[in-house]
Amino acid sequence: MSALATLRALAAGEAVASGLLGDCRLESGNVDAFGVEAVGDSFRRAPMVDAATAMAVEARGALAIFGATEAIVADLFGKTIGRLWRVGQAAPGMPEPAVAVAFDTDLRQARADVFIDPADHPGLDASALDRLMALGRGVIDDSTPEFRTFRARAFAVRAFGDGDIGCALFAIHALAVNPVRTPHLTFAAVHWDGAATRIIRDRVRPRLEHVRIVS
Amino acid sequence: MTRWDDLPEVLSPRGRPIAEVLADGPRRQDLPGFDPVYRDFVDYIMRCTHRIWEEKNIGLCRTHYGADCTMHTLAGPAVGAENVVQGTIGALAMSSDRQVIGEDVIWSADPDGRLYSSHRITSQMTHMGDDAMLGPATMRPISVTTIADCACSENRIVEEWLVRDNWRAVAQVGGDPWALAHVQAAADLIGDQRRHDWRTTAIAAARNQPDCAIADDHPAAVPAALLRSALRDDMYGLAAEALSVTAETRWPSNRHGFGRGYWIGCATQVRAMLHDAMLRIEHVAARPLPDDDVAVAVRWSLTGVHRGAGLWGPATGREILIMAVSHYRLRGRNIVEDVTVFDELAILRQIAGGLGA
Repeated sequence: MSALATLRALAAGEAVASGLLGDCRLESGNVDAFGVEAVGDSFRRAPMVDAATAMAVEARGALAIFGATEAIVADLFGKTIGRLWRVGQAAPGMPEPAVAVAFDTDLRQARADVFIDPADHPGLDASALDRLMALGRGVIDDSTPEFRTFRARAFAVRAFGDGDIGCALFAIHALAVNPVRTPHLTFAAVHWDGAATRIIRDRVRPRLEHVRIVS
Repeated sequence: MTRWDDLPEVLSPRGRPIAEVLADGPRRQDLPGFDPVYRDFVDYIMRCTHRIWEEKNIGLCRTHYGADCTMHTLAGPAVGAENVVQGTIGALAMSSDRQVIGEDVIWSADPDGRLYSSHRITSQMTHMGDDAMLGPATMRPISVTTIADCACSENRIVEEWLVRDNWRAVAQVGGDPWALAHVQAAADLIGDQRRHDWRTTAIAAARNQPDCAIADDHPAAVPAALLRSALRDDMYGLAAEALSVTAETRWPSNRHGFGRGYWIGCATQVRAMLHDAMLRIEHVAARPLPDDDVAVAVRWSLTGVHRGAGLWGPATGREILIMAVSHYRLRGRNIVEDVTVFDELAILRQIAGGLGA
């Protein structure tokens, strides 16, 4: 069974007997599922409705599928899935508590907005960089109300392809708009193919589960 | 002397299905005194963990731990194989369905003749039974990361350093770690206080003993410089240049984020609480990973006086000890992942006056 067939079956909520590493982690909307049993259970409870027909893009060590409203990005070891990010899931569940960390995303007065180190992505051709930067700015565009933020920064976590076709996963650290700048961490998956581009983003969900240790 | 990248046939479990990791077969590494079932040192760690925890053959601890083995934790040491047996039975009585899923084994053959492993595990379980730390059974799921550093000789673990993200486990079952730490601290004040002397000794070691030796060309030189620059020299920006600009950081108590700034945020959050702080790097190991990445394990301790108010409440003036293990994934000279584990519940227990003077 190919990795793509495994991913489609898994995303559709079907039982998958093999093709997933024992330490596979699925992240969706700040909710983690770890291990074959928990990952499978997560998809069984909330299948990706168009998993069978979702557009697929593959490279050595990476795989992604893009549906109408959701995308899944996977790390591969050969044909085996090692890690998964599900982006755009409408109701991923309640995140567990996390200790809030105060931090500066930028480390400079001249603020940046998209962070990419090409050295981290051996499957990414240099010809894709300009396009990836532009798409990175697209994933933090807040011109629509559901994505409005005070400050959003995109970090390229996975990226592969060239100037013509490719895919990337961005982590987005953002603060909510005033008056309370609640932090949130979301993900976005992007795909480009010729002139066409797709961006699928998690909805902004304030991390109210972020806690102080001493309450 | 075995270099960090010798014996490439002794593979990391990273990227390998468990059936392949635990497949029977001939020996791949010279392991004098080890049971014939073990093919190499990584197999020894992965397989004996599976046999003890998942196959429930807990008595194997008696042939896999030294009779006087010390298991160091931030809540205090346990000595002897029988204590390991009893502790494992207790843990499985609470979470009988526990899967002890190994994420990596980063090992070294040390100059003292011992084999040393740093085994990162994320355990999956259900809180099925009553437990001293987690309280009455809640039937909630628990997913918690542990790193067990083990010094081994002739089939036995002769010394172990165990760090576990206990704050996260308590939070996952709906508990209140801060309140629990105070209950634990109150219990610590009862009885013979000499049982807590280990903490004084460990703090003195962190303050007075030198770092372990790290060759300049060893992969651990990169994360060691990161920790020293940040937690010893307070040069956080310089330190973070060792990280990719998009590095992923997982620190205890479900801290998770991306970028150099997030890592600095984790480091300064802890360092801000501790005045007159001292870092000690105690052990390092490294092994090759798939796709030319490199895994590095660093065991370190940090001590300082709790004069900073904030994360852990009002300043108490107590000297606090942190025992940590960090696993890094390097791509080229960049750190692209940092998974650090320490027991923040045991830190709160110290803040609350527990674990001795």
